[in-house]
Amino acid sequence: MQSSPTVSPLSDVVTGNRSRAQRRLRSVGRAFALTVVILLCLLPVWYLLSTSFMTRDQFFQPDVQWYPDPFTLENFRRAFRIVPLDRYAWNTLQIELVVVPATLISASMVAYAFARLRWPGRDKLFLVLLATLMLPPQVTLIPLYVIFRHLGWIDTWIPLMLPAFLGGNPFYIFLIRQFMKGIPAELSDAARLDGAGELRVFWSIILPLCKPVLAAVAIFTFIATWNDFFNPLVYLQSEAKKTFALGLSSFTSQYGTDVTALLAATTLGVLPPILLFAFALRYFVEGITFSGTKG
Amino acid sequence: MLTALMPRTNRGRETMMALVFASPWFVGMAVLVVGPFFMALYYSFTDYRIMGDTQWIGLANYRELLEDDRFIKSLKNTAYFTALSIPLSLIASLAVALLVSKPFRGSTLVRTTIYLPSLFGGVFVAALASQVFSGNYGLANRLLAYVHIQGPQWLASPEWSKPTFVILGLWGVGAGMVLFLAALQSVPVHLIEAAIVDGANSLQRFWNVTLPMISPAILFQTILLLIASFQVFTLTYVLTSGGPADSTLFTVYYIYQLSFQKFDMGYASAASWVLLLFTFATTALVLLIGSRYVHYEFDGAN
Repeated sequence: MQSSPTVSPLSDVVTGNRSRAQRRLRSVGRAFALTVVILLCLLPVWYLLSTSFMTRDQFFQPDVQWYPDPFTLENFRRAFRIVPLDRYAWNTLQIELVVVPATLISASMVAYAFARLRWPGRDKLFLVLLATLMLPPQVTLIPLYVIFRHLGWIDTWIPLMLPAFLGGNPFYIFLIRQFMKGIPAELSDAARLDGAGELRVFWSIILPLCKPVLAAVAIFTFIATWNDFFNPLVYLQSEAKKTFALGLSSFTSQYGTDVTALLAATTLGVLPPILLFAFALRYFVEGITFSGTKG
Repeated sequence: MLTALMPRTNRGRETMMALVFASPWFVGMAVLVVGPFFMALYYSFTDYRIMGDTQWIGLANYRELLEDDRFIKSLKNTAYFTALSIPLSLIASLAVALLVSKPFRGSTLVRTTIYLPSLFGGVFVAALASQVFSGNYGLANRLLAYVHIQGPQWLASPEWSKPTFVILGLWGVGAGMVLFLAALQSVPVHLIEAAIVDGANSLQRFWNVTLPMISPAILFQTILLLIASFQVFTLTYVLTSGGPADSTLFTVYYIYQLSFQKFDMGYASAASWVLLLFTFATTALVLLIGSRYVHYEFDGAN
Protein backbone atom coordinates (compact mmCIF):
# COMPACT_ATOMS: atom_id res chain seq x y z
CA MET A 1 0.00 0.00 0.00
CA GLN A 2 3.01 2.27 -0.46
CA SER A 3 2.13 5.38 -2.40
CA SER A 4 4.77 7.12 -4.46
CA PRO A 5 6.24 10.26 -2.94
CA THR A 6 5.14 12.58 -5.74
CA VAL A 7 3.09 15.68 -4.97
CA SER A 8 -0.61 14.97 -5.09
CA PRO A 9 -3.20 17.58 -5.90
CA LEU A 10 -5.78 18.30 -3.21
CA SER A 11 -8.50 16.29 -4.89
CA ASP A 12 -6.31 13.23 -4.57
CA VAL A 13 -6.21 13.43 -0.79
CA VAL A 14 -8.69 10.63 -0.35
CA THR A 15 -7.06 8.10 -2.55
CA GLY A 16 -3.41 9.04 -2.70
CA ASN A 17 -1.67 7.69 -5.75
CA ARG A 18 -2.76 4.12 -5.55
CA SER A 19 -3.47 2.04 -8.56
CA ARG A 20 -6.91 1.73 -10.00
CA ALA A 21 -7.42 -1.84 -8.83
CA GLN A 22 -6.45 -0.95 -5.28
CA ARG A 23 -8.84 1.96 -5.31
CA ARG A 24 -11.68 -0.17 -6.57
CA LEU A 25 -10.96 -2.88 -4.00
CA ARG A 26 -11.01 -0.26 -1.30
CA SER A 27 -14.28 1.31 -2.38
CA VAL A 28 -15.93 -2.10 -2.64
CA GLY A 29 -14.74 -2.92 0.87
CA ARG A 30 -16.05 0.39 2.11
CA ALA A 31 -19.44 -0.11 0.48
CA PHE A 32 -19.66 -3.58 1.99
CA ALA A 33 -18.81 -2.34 5.49
CA LEU A 34 -21.32 0.50 5.16
CA THR A 35 -24.03 -1.90 4.06
CA VAL A 36 -23.43 -4.08 7.09
CA VAL A 37 -23.57 -1.08 9.43
CA ILE A 38 -26.76 0.24 7.87
CA LEU A 39 -28.39 -3.19 8.02
CA LEU A 40 -27.51 -3.56 11.70
CA CYS A 41 -29.00 -0.14 12.39
CA LEU A 42 -32.15 -0.60 10.34
CA LEU A 43 -33.01 -4.26 10.82
CA PRO A 44 -34.31 -3.84 14.39
CA VAL A 45 -36.24 -0.74 13.31
CA TRP A 46 -37.86 -2.63 10.44
CA TYR A 47 -38.60 -5.55 12.76
CA LEU A 48 -40.30 -3.16 15.20
CA LEU A 49 -42.34 -1.49 12.50
CA SER A 50 -43.40 -4.64 10.66
CA THR A 51 -44.23 -6.61 13.79
CA SER A 52 -46.49 -3.77 14.96
CA PHE A 53 -48.73 -4.47 11.98
CA MET A 54 -48.59 -8.29 12.19
CA THR A 55 -51.16 -10.67 13.57
CA ARG A 56 -50.09 -12.65 16.60
CA ASP A 57 -50.42 -15.84 14.59
CA GLN A 58 -47.95 -14.64 12.03
CA PHE A 59 -45.56 -13.33 14.67
CA PHE A 60 -45.27 -16.74 16.30
CA GLN A 61 -44.53 -18.57 13.04
CA PRO A 62 -41.22 -20.44 13.34
CA ASP A 63 -39.52 -18.57 10.46
CA VAL A 64 -38.44 -14.95 10.27
CA GLN A 65 -41.43 -12.91 9.14
CA TRP A 66 -40.12 -10.10 6.98
CA TYR A 67 -43.33 -8.11 6.49
CA PRO A 68 -46.88 -8.16 7.85
CA ASP A 69 -49.21 -10.45 5.93
CA PRO A 70 -52.06 -9.81 6.53
CA PHE A 71 -51.69 -6.21 7.58
CA THR A 72 -53.56 -5.37 10.79
CA LEU A 73 -54.09 -2.43 13.15
CA GLU A 74 -55.37 -4.75 15.85
CA ASN A 75 -52.11 -4.48 17.88
CA PHE A 76 -52.54 -0.73 18.25
CA ARG A 77 -56.17 -1.13 19.31
CA ARG A 78 -55.20 -3.68 21.94
CA ALA A 79 -52.27 -1.55 23.14
CA PHE A 80 -54.63 1.36 23.81
CA ARG A 81 -57.01 -0.96 25.64
CA ILE A 82 -54.29 -2.48 27.84
CA VAL A 83 -52.78 0.81 29.00
CA PRO A 84 -53.97 4.42 28.52
CA LEU A 85 -51.34 5.35 25.94
CA ASP A 86 -53.18 8.51 24.92
CA ARG A 87 -53.20 9.67 28.55
CA TYR A 88 -49.45 8.92 28.86
CA ALA A 89 -48.70 10.83 25.65
CA TRP A 90 -50.78 13.82 26.68
CA ASN A 91 -49.10 13.87 30.12
CA THR A 92 -45.66 13.89 28.53
CA LEU A 93 -46.67 16.65 26.11
CA GLN A 94 -47.92 18.81 28.98
CA ILE A 95 -44.57 18.37 30.75
CA GLU A 96 -42.75 19.22 27.51
CA LEU A 97 -44.80 22.40 27.12
CA VAL A 98 -43.32 23.65 30.38
CA VAL A 99 -39.85 22.10 30.26
CA VAL A 100 -38.83 23.14 26.74
CA PRO A 101 -39.61 26.90 26.98
CA ALA A 102 -38.32 27.07 30.57
CA THR A 103 -35.04 25.43 29.57
CA LEU A 104 -34.62 27.76 26.59
CA ILE A 105 -35.10 30.89 28.69
CA SER A 106 -33.14 29.91 31.78
CA ALA A 107 -30.26 28.28 29.89
CA SER A 108 -29.85 31.22 27.53
CA MET A 109 -29.93 33.69 30.44
CA VAL A 110 -27.12 31.83 32.16
CA ALA A 111 -25.25 31.43 28.89
CA TYR A 112 -25.55 35.18 28.32
CA ALA A 113 -23.90 35.91 31.67
CA PHE A 114 -21.03 33.54 30.83
CA ALA A 115 -20.62 34.58 27.20
CA ARG A 116 -21.27 38.31 26.99
CA LEU A 117 -20.78 39.91 30.39
CA ARG A 118 -17.58 40.42 32.31
CA TRP A 119 -17.56 39.75 36.01
CA PRO A 120 -15.09 38.48 38.57
CA GLY A 121 -14.85 34.69 38.87
CA ARG A 122 -16.70 34.08 35.62
CA ASP A 123 -14.19 31.75 34.01
CA LYS A 124 -13.61 29.72 37.15
CA LEU A 125 -17.34 29.27 37.63
CA PHE A 126 -17.65 28.18 34.04
CA LEU A 127 -15.20 25.38 34.77
CA VAL A 128 -17.39 24.44 37.73
CA LEU A 129 -20.37 24.32 35.38
CA LEU A 130 -18.49 22.01 33.03
CA ALA A 131 -17.44 19.84 35.95
CA THR A 132 -21.07 19.31 36.98
CA LEU A 133 -21.54 17.54 33.65
CA MET A 134 -19.44 14.76 35.13
CA LEU A 135 -21.41 14.50 38.36
CA PRO A 136 -23.36 11.23 38.47
CA PRO A 137 -26.98 12.13 39.21
CA GLN A 138 -27.61 9.21 41.53
CA VAL A 139 -25.64 10.89 44.33
CA THR A 140 -28.08 13.76 44.61
CA LEU A 141 -31.10 11.56 43.96
CA ILE A 142 -31.87 10.43 47.49
CA PRO A 143 -31.65 13.89 49.13
CA LEU A 144 -33.71 15.39 46.30
CA TYR A 145 -36.33 12.72 46.80
CA VAL A 146 -36.39 13.49 50.52
CA ILE A 147 -36.69 17.24 49.88
CA PHE A 148 -39.44 16.85 47.30
CA ARG A 149 -41.25 14.48 49.62
CA HIS A 150 -41.18 17.03 52.43
CA LEU A 151 -42.62 19.59 50.04
CA GLY A 152 -45.41 17.21 49.07
CA TRP A 153 -44.23 17.06 45.47
CA ILE A 154 -44.06 13.28 45.09
CA ASP A 155 -46.48 12.05 42.44
CA THR A 156 -46.58 15.51 40.87
CA TRP A 157 -44.75 16.76 37.79
CA ILE A 158 -42.93 19.51 39.72
CA PRO A 159 -39.73 17.48 40.29
CA LEU A 160 -39.59 16.81 36.54
CA MET A 161 -40.12 20.48 35.66
CA LEU A 162 -38.13 22.33 38.30
CA PRO A 163 -34.61 21.75 36.87
CA ALA A 164 -35.71 23.35 33.59
CA PHE A 165 -36.22 26.66 35.40
CA LEU A 166 -32.75 26.46 36.93
CA GLY A 167 -30.65 26.30 33.79
CA GLY A 168 -31.54 22.76 32.75
CA ASN A 169 -28.76 20.49 31.56
CA PRO A 170 -25.36 22.29 31.87
CA PHE A 171 -24.50 20.96 28.44
CA TYR A 172 -27.18 23.17 26.89
CA ILE A 173 -25.82 26.23 28.71
CA PHE A 174 -22.42 25.31 27.29
CA LEU A 175 -23.79 25.00 23.73
CA ILE A 176 -25.62 28.33 23.83
CA ARG A 177 -22.64 30.06 25.45
CA GLN A 178 -20.33 28.85 22.68
CA PHE A 179 -22.74 30.17 20.08
CA MET A 180 -23.17 33.53 21.83
CA LYS A 181 -19.41 34.03 22.00
CA GLY A 182 -19.36 33.95 18.22
CA ILE A 183 -21.60 37.02 17.92
CA PRO A 184 -19.48 40.18 17.44
CA ALA A 185 -19.22 42.32 20.60
CA GLU A 186 -19.79 45.47 18.53
CA LEU A 187 -23.48 44.55 18.14
CA SER A 188 -24.26 44.69 21.83
CA ASP A 189 -21.82 47.58 22.47
CA ALA A 190 -23.58 49.69 19.86
CA ALA A 191 -26.98 48.93 21.37
CA ARG A 192 -25.70 49.80 24.84
CA LEU A 193 -24.34 53.14 23.58
CA ASP A 194 -27.79 53.81 22.16
CA GLY A 195 -29.11 53.41 25.66
CA ALA A 196 -30.44 49.87 25.55
CA GLY A 197 -30.48 48.12 28.92
CA GLU A 198 -28.85 44.73 29.38
CA LEU A 199 -32.20 42.94 29.32
CA ARG A 200 -33.01 44.57 26.01
CA VAL A 201 -29.64 43.68 24.51
CA PHE A 202 -30.21 40.11 25.59
CA TRP A 203 -33.78 39.81 24.41
CA SER A 204 -33.82 41.92 21.24
CA ILE A 205 -30.28 41.65 19.91
CA ILE A 206 -28.62 38.44 21.07
CA LEU A 207 -31.48 35.96 21.41
CA PRO A 208 -32.85 36.45 17.87
CA LEU A 209 -29.37 35.71 16.52
CA CYS A 210 -29.21 32.49 18.54
CA LYS A 211 -32.17 30.86 16.79
CA PRO A 212 -30.19 27.93 15.32
CA VAL A 213 -28.65 26.86 18.62
CA LEU A 214 -31.92 27.47 20.48
CA ALA A 215 -33.72 25.23 17.99
CA ALA A 216 -31.15 22.50 18.55
CA VAL A 217 -31.42 22.82 22.34
CA ALA A 218 -35.23 22.77 22.13
CA ILE A 219 -35.13 19.55 20.15
CA PHE A 220 -32.55 17.88 22.40
CA THR A 221 -34.57 18.88 25.44
CA PHE A 222 -37.80 17.58 23.97
CA ILE A 223 -36.23 14.24 23.07
CA ALA A 224 -34.44 13.86 26.41
CA THR A 225 -37.66 14.63 28.31
CA TRP A 226 -39.69 12.28 26.15
CA ASN A 227 -37.20 9.46 26.65
CA ASP A 228 -36.52 10.12 30.35
CA PHE A 229 -37.30 7.07 32.40
CA PHE A 230 -35.45 7.36 35.70
CA ASN A 231 -36.96 10.59 37.02
CA PRO A 232 -40.59 9.71 36.23
CA LEU A 233 -39.99 6.27 37.75
CA VAL A 234 -38.76 7.79 41.01
CA TYR A 235 -41.23 10.65 41.31
CA LEU A 236 -44.49 9.45 39.75
CA GLN A 237 -46.76 6.78 41.13
CA SER A 238 -50.35 7.07 39.95
CA GLU A 239 -51.31 5.75 36.53
CA ALA A 240 -53.04 9.02 35.67
CA LYS A 241 -49.78 10.97 35.89
CA LYS A 242 -47.32 8.64 34.18
CA THR A 243 -45.29 9.69 31.17
CA PHE A 244 -45.18 7.61 28.00
CA ALA A 245 -41.78 6.07 28.71
CA LEU A 246 -42.78 5.12 32.24
CA GLY A 247 -46.19 3.85 31.14
CA LEU A 248 -44.58 1.58 28.57
CA SER A 249 -42.58 -0.17 31.29
CA SER A 250 -45.71 -0.99 33.29
CA PHE A 251 -46.99 -2.49 30.04
CA THR A 252 -44.12 -4.96 29.97
CA SER A 253 -44.40 -5.95 33.60
CA GLN A 254 -48.16 -6.53 33.60
CA TYR A 255 -48.86 -7.79 30.13
CA GLY A 256 -45.52 -9.17 29.01
CA THR A 257 -47.19 -11.82 26.94
CA ASP A 258 -48.97 -9.52 24.47
CA VAL A 259 -45.80 -9.00 22.48
CA THR A 260 -47.22 -7.52 19.29
CA ALA A 261 -49.23 -4.94 21.25
CA LEU A 262 -46.13 -4.03 23.21
CA LEU A 263 -44.18 -3.50 19.99
CA ALA A 264 -47.02 -1.42 18.55
CA ALA A 265 -46.89 0.79 21.64
CA THR A 266 -43.09 1.00 21.28
CA THR A 267 -43.51 2.14 17.68
CA LEU A 268 -45.76 4.94 18.86
CA GLY A 269 -43.23 5.80 21.56
CA VAL A 270 -40.26 6.25 19.23
CA LEU A 271 -42.27 8.19 16.66
CA PRO A 272 -42.26 11.68 18.26
CA PRO A 273 -38.45 11.94 18.63
CA ILE A 274 -37.91 10.58 15.11
CA LEU A 275 -40.48 12.87 13.49
CA LEU A 276 -39.15 15.88 15.34
CA PHE A 277 -35.60 15.03 14.38
CA ALA A 278 -36.47 14.48 10.74
CA PHE A 279 -38.41 17.72 10.64
CA ALA A 280 -35.56 19.68 12.22
CA LEU A 281 -32.65 18.01 10.48
CA ARG A 282 -31.73 21.18 8.64
CA TYR A 283 -31.23 23.03 11.92
CA PHE A 284 -28.59 20.61 13.04
CA VAL A 285 -25.49 22.69 12.62
CA GLU A 286 -25.71 22.64 8.91
CA GLY A 287 -22.69 21.26 7.18
CA ILE A 288 -20.85 20.19 10.30
CA THR A 289 -22.22 16.80 11.10
CA PHE A 290 -25.00 15.56 8.90
CA SER A 291 -24.99 17.22 5.51
CA GLY A 292 -21.33 16.55 4.82
CA THR A 293 -20.86 19.40 2.37
CA LYS A 294 -17.77 20.56 4.19
CA GLY A 295 -14.84 18.29 3.52
CA MET B 1 -13.49 47.75 22.76
CA LEU B 2 -16.17 50.30 23.46
CA THR B 3 -17.04 48.94 26.88
CA ALA B 4 -13.47 49.47 27.99
CA LEU B 5 -13.95 53.21 27.52
CA MET B 6 -17.04 53.34 29.70
CA PRO B 7 -16.77 54.71 33.24
CA ARG B 8 -15.69 52.40 35.98
CA THR B 9 -19.09 52.31 37.68
CA ASN B 10 -20.46 50.38 34.71
CA ARG B 11 -18.24 47.49 35.71
CA GLY B 12 -20.12 47.14 38.95
CA ARG B 13 -23.40 47.30 37.12
CA GLU B 14 -22.24 44.70 34.64
CA THR B 15 -21.36 42.37 37.50
CA MET B 16 -24.77 42.98 39.02
CA MET B 17 -26.49 42.17 35.74
CA ALA B 18 -24.36 39.08 35.29
CA LEU B 19 -25.42 37.81 38.69
CA VAL B 20 -29.04 38.42 37.77
CA PHE B 21 -28.68 36.58 34.46
CA ALA B 22 -26.78 33.69 35.99
CA SER B 23 -29.11 33.47 39.01
CA PRO B 24 -31.06 30.42 37.74
CA TRP B 25 -27.81 28.48 37.63
CA PHE B 26 -26.67 29.69 41.07
CA VAL B 27 -29.99 28.67 42.60
CA GLY B 28 -29.88 25.36 40.71
CA MET B 29 -26.36 24.64 41.91
CA ALA B 30 -27.31 25.33 45.51
CA VAL B 31 -30.67 23.56 45.55
CA LEU B 32 -30.15 20.69 43.09
CA VAL B 33 -26.43 19.96 43.30
CA VAL B 34 -24.33 21.22 46.21
CA GLY B 35 -26.99 20.96 48.92
CA PRO B 36 -28.12 17.42 48.05
CA PHE B 37 -24.49 16.40 47.52
CA PHE B 38 -23.61 17.11 51.16
CA MET B 39 -26.96 15.87 52.42
CA ALA B 40 -26.15 12.52 50.80
CA LEU B 41 -22.81 12.53 52.59
CA TYR B 42 -24.58 13.21 55.88
CA TYR B 43 -27.20 10.50 55.28
CA SER B 44 -24.46 8.01 54.53
CA PHE B 45 -23.39 8.23 58.19
CA THR B 46 -26.91 7.65 59.46
CA ASP B 47 -29.58 5.03 59.74
CA TYR B 48 -32.39 6.73 57.87
CA ARG B 49 -35.47 4.96 56.62
CA ILE B 50 -37.76 7.83 55.54
CA MET B 51 -40.25 6.90 58.27
CA GLY B 52 -38.93 7.51 61.77
CA ASP B 53 -35.79 9.12 63.13
CA THR B 54 -32.42 9.65 61.63
CA GLN B 55 -29.73 8.05 63.76
CA TRP B 56 -26.03 8.87 63.50
CA ILE B 57 -24.20 5.58 63.18
CA GLY B 58 -20.80 6.76 61.98
CA LEU B 59 -19.08 4.48 59.50
CA ALA B 60 -21.39 1.52 60.10
CA ASN B 61 -22.99 1.78 56.63
CA TYR B 62 -19.62 1.77 54.93
CA ARG B 63 -18.45 -1.17 57.01
CA GLU B 64 -21.59 -3.07 56.07
CA LEU B 65 -21.01 -2.28 52.38
CA LEU B 66 -17.59 -3.93 52.53
CA GLU B 67 -19.27 -7.17 53.51
CA ASP B 68 -22.30 -6.83 51.28
CA ASP B 69 -21.81 -9.48 48.61
CA ARG B 70 -24.48 -8.06 46.35
CA PHE B 71 -22.90 -4.60 46.50
CA ILE B 72 -19.47 -6.02 45.64
CA LYS B 73 -21.06 -8.04 42.87
CA SER B 74 -22.79 -4.93 41.53
CA LEU B 75 -19.46 -3.06 41.43
CA LYS B 76 -17.83 -5.98 39.62
CA ASN B 77 -20.69 -6.13 37.13
CA THR B 78 -20.43 -2.39 36.53
CA ALA B 79 -16.67 -2.61 36.05
CA TYR B 80 -17.01 -5.58 33.66
CA PHE B 81 -19.67 -3.78 31.63
CA THR B 82 -17.60 -0.58 31.50
CA ALA B 83 -14.40 -2.34 30.53
CA LEU B 84 -16.13 -4.25 27.75
CA SER B 85 -18.41 -1.57 26.37
CA ILE B 86 -16.15 1.49 26.28
CA PRO B 87 -13.37 0.18 24.01
CA LEU B 88 -15.91 -1.45 21.69
CA SER B 89 -18.04 1.71 21.50
CA LEU B 90 -15.01 3.90 20.86
CA ILE B 91 -13.66 1.68 18.10
CA ALA B 92 -17.05 1.15 16.48
CA SER B 93 -18.06 4.80 16.49
CA LEU B 94 -14.67 5.93 15.20
CA ALA B 95 -14.71 3.28 12.48
CA VAL B 96 -18.20 4.27 11.40
CA ALA B 97 -17.24 7.95 11.44
CA LEU B 98 -14.24 7.21 9.22
CA LEU B 99 -16.47 5.25 6.84
CA VAL B 100 -18.85 8.17 6.32
CA SER B 101 -16.53 11.14 6.86
CA LYS B 102 -15.92 11.88 3.19
CA PRO B 103 -18.99 13.18 1.38
CA PHE B 104 -20.50 10.83 -1.19
CA ARG B 105 -23.86 10.51 -2.87
CA GLY B 106 -26.44 9.99 -0.13
CA SER B 107 -23.98 10.49 2.72
CA THR B 108 -26.42 12.67 4.67
CA LEU B 109 -29.03 9.94 4.47
CA VAL B 110 -26.51 7.31 5.56
CA ARG B 111 -25.35 9.36 8.53
CA THR B 112 -28.92 10.05 9.57
CA THR B 113 -29.74 6.35 9.31
CA ILE B 114 -26.83 5.39 11.54
CA TYR B 115 -27.86 8.07 14.01
CA LEU B 116 -31.49 6.90 14.03
CA PRO B 117 -31.14 4.29 16.84
CA SER B 118 -29.68 6.98 19.12
CA LEU B 119 -33.09 8.64 19.12
CA PHE B 120 -34.62 5.59 20.79
CA GLY B 121 -35.00 6.13 24.52
CA GLY B 122 -33.80 3.42 26.91
CA VAL B 123 -37.26 2.02 27.60
CA PHE B 124 -38.00 1.68 23.91
CA VAL B 125 -34.67 -0.02 23.22
CA ALA B 126 -35.44 -2.36 26.11
CA ALA B 127 -38.92 -3.21 24.83
CA LEU B 128 -37.55 -3.93 21.38
CA ALA B 129 -34.59 -5.89 22.75
CA SER B 130 -36.85 -8.05 24.87
CA GLN B 131 -38.20 -9.47 21.59
CA VAL B 132 -35.10 -9.33 19.37
CA PHE B 133 -33.04 -11.15 21.99
CA SER B 134 -35.68 -13.52 23.20
CA GLY B 135 -34.01 -16.93 23.33
CA ASN B 136 -36.86 -18.86 21.77
CA TYR B 137 -38.57 -16.78 19.11
CA GLY B 138 -36.33 -13.67 18.99
CA LEU B 139 -35.17 -12.20 15.70
CA ALA B 140 -31.49 -12.65 16.59
CA ASN B 141 -31.69 -16.38 17.09
CA ARG B 142 -33.96 -16.90 14.08
CA LEU B 143 -31.40 -15.14 11.91
CA LEU B 144 -28.59 -17.17 13.45
CA ALA B 145 -30.57 -20.31 12.71
CA TYR B 146 -30.30 -19.42 9.00
CA VAL B 147 -26.56 -19.98 9.23
CA HIS B 148 -27.06 -23.01 11.47
CA ILE B 149 -25.92 -21.37 14.66
CA GLN B 150 -27.79 -22.18 17.82
CA GLY B 151 -28.03 -18.75 19.48
CA PRO B 152 -27.62 -18.35 23.24
CA GLN B 153 -30.40 -17.44 25.64
CA TRP B 154 -29.06 -13.85 25.66
CA LEU B 155 -30.70 -11.93 28.50
CA ALA B 156 -31.83 -15.09 30.25
CA SER B 157 -28.31 -16.48 30.51
CA PRO B 158 -25.85 -15.31 33.19
CA GLU B 159 -22.93 -15.56 30.72
CA TRP B 160 -24.61 -13.63 27.92
CA SER B 161 -26.68 -11.05 29.76
CA LYS B 162 -23.90 -8.46 30.10
CA PRO B 163 -22.59 -8.91 26.54
CA THR B 164 -26.17 -8.43 25.34
CA PHE B 165 -26.26 -5.11 27.19
CA VAL B 166 -23.01 -4.17 25.44
CA ILE B 167 -24.56 -5.03 22.06
CA LEU B 168 -27.55 -2.83 22.89
CA GLY B 169 -25.14 -0.03 23.73
CA LEU B 170 -23.37 -0.50 20.39
CA TRP B 171 -26.67 0.02 18.62
CA GLY B 172 -26.38 3.67 19.70
CA VAL B 173 -23.02 4.04 17.97
CA GLY B 174 -24.41 6.98 15.97
CA ALA B 175 -24.10 9.43 18.86
CA GLY B 176 -20.36 8.83 19.09
CA MET B 177 -20.12 8.93 15.30
CA VAL B 178 -21.49 12.48 15.24
CA LEU B 179 -18.88 13.63 17.73
CA PHE B 180 -16.05 12.01 15.78
CA LEU B 181 -17.35 13.36 12.47
CA ALA B 182 -17.13 16.88 13.83
CA ALA B 183 -13.60 16.15 15.08
CA LEU B 184 -12.52 14.58 11.77
CA GLN B 185 -13.74 17.58 9.85
CA SER B 186 -11.60 19.88 11.94
CA VAL B 187 -8.39 18.03 11.01
CA PRO B 188 -6.51 20.57 8.84
CA VAL B 189 -6.28 19.44 5.23
CA HIS B 190 -2.76 20.89 4.90
CA LEU B 191 -1.45 18.41 7.47
CA ILE B 192 -2.86 15.46 5.53
CA GLU B 193 -1.43 16.89 2.32
CA ALA B 194 1.95 17.34 3.95
CA ALA B 195 1.88 13.71 5.02
CA ILE B 196 1.03 12.64 1.48
CA VAL B 197 3.90 14.73 0.16
CA ASP B 198 6.17 12.95 2.62
CA GLY B 199 5.01 9.61 1.20
CA ALA B 200 2.90 8.42 4.11
CA ASN B 201 0.39 5.72 3.23
CA SER B 202 -3.17 5.90 4.49
CA LEU B 203 -2.51 3.83 7.59
CA GLN B 204 0.46 6.01 8.51
CA ARG B 205 -1.58 9.13 7.84
CA PHE B 206 -4.32 7.88 10.13
CA TRP B 207 -1.94 6.84 12.87
CA ASN B 208 0.38 9.85 12.81
CA VAL B 209 -1.87 12.71 11.72
CA THR B 210 -5.58 12.01 12.09
CA LEU B 211 -5.48 10.11 15.37
CA PRO B 212 -3.40 12.70 17.28
CA MET B 213 -5.55 15.50 15.88
CA ILE B 214 -8.80 13.92 17.06
CA SER B 215 -7.38 12.61 20.35
CA PRO B 216 -9.10 15.33 22.43
CA ALA B 217 -12.45 14.14 21.03
CA ILE B 218 -11.56 10.55 21.89
CA LEU B 219 -10.73 11.51 25.46
CA PHE B 220 -13.93 13.52 25.74
CA GLN B 221 -16.04 10.66 24.39
CA THR B 222 -14.29 8.17 26.70
CA ILE B 223 -15.27 10.24 29.71
CA LEU B 224 -18.85 10.64 28.51
CA LEU B 225 -19.11 6.87 27.99
CA LEU B 226 -17.49 6.20 31.33
CA ILE B 227 -19.99 8.30 33.24
CA ALA B 228 -22.89 6.86 31.25
CA SER B 229 -21.84 3.25 31.78
CA PHE B 230 -21.50 3.79 35.53
CA GLN B 231 -25.13 4.93 35.34
CA VAL B 232 -26.58 1.99 33.44
CA PHE B 233 -30.05 1.44 34.85
CA THR B 234 -33.03 1.48 32.52
CA LEU B 235 -32.11 -1.68 30.61
CA THR B 236 -31.66 -3.58 33.85
CA TYR B 237 -34.89 -2.28 35.31
CA VAL B 238 -37.01 -3.11 32.28
CA LEU B 239 -35.30 -6.22 30.94
CA THR B 240 -33.76 -8.25 33.73
CA SER B 241 -34.43 -6.74 37.17
CA GLY B 242 -30.77 -7.48 37.86
CA GLY B 243 -30.97 -11.15 36.96
CA PRO B 244 -30.34 -13.88 36.03
CA ALA B 245 -28.33 -14.78 39.15
CA ASP B 246 -27.55 -11.09 39.76
CA SER B 247 -25.51 -11.03 36.53
CA THR B 248 -26.95 -7.64 35.54
CA LEU B 249 -27.15 -6.23 39.03
CA PHE B 250 -25.41 -2.93 38.36
CA THR B 251 -24.65 -0.53 41.18
CA VAL B 252 -27.17 2.16 40.29
CA TYR B 253 -29.88 -0.49 40.10
CA TYR B 254 -28.82 -1.86 43.48
CA ILE B 255 -28.91 1.67 44.92
CA TYR B 256 -32.39 2.05 43.47
CA GLN B 257 -33.50 -1.18 45.16
CA LEU B 258 -32.03 -0.09 48.48
CA SER B 259 -33.55 3.37 48.41
CA PHE B 260 -36.90 3.01 46.67
CA GLN B 261 -37.86 -0.55 47.40
CA LYS B 262 -36.36 -1.04 50.85
CA PHE B 263 -36.32 2.68 51.76
CA ASP B 264 -32.96 2.20 53.44
CA MET B 265 -31.89 5.74 52.54
CA GLY B 266 -28.81 5.96 54.76
CA TYR B 267 -27.28 2.74 53.48
CA ALA B 268 -28.20 3.62 49.88
CA SER B 269 -26.53 7.03 50.28
CA ALA B 270 -23.35 5.35 51.44
CA ALA B 271 -23.48 3.07 48.40
CA SER B 272 -23.99 6.06 46.11
CA TRP B 273 -20.99 7.82 47.63
CA VAL B 274 -18.81 4.77 47.07
CA LEU B 275 -19.96 4.66 43.44
CA LEU B 276 -19.23 8.38 43.15
CA LEU B 277 -15.69 7.87 44.43
CA PHE B 278 -15.19 5.04 41.96
CA THR B 279 -16.46 7.25 39.15
CA PHE B 280 -14.14 10.09 40.17
CA ALA B 281 -11.15 7.79 40.54
CA THR B 282 -11.72 6.20 37.13
CA THR B 283 -12.32 9.54 35.45
CA ALA B 284 -9.17 10.96 37.04
CA LEU B 285 -7.20 7.93 35.88
CA VAL B 286 -8.48 8.29 32.33
CA LEU B 287 -7.67 12.00 32.35
CA LEU B 288 -4.19 11.29 33.68
CA ILE B 289 -3.47 8.66 31.05
CA GLY B 290 -5.16 10.83 28.46
CA SER B 291 -3.04 13.88 29.23
CA ARG B 292 0.06 11.89 28.22
CA TYR B 293 -1.27 10.96 24.83
CA VAL B 294 -3.76 13.63 23.92
CA HIS B 295 -2.47 16.22 21.52
CA TYR B 296 -3.79 19.75 21.93
CA GLU B 297 -3.30 21.88 18.86
CA PHE B 298 -5.05 24.93 20.25
CA ASP B 299 -5.00 26.36 23.74
CA GLY B 300 -8.10 25.88 25.81
CA ALA B 301 -9.30 29.43 25.21
CA ASN B 302 -12.74 28.45 24.01
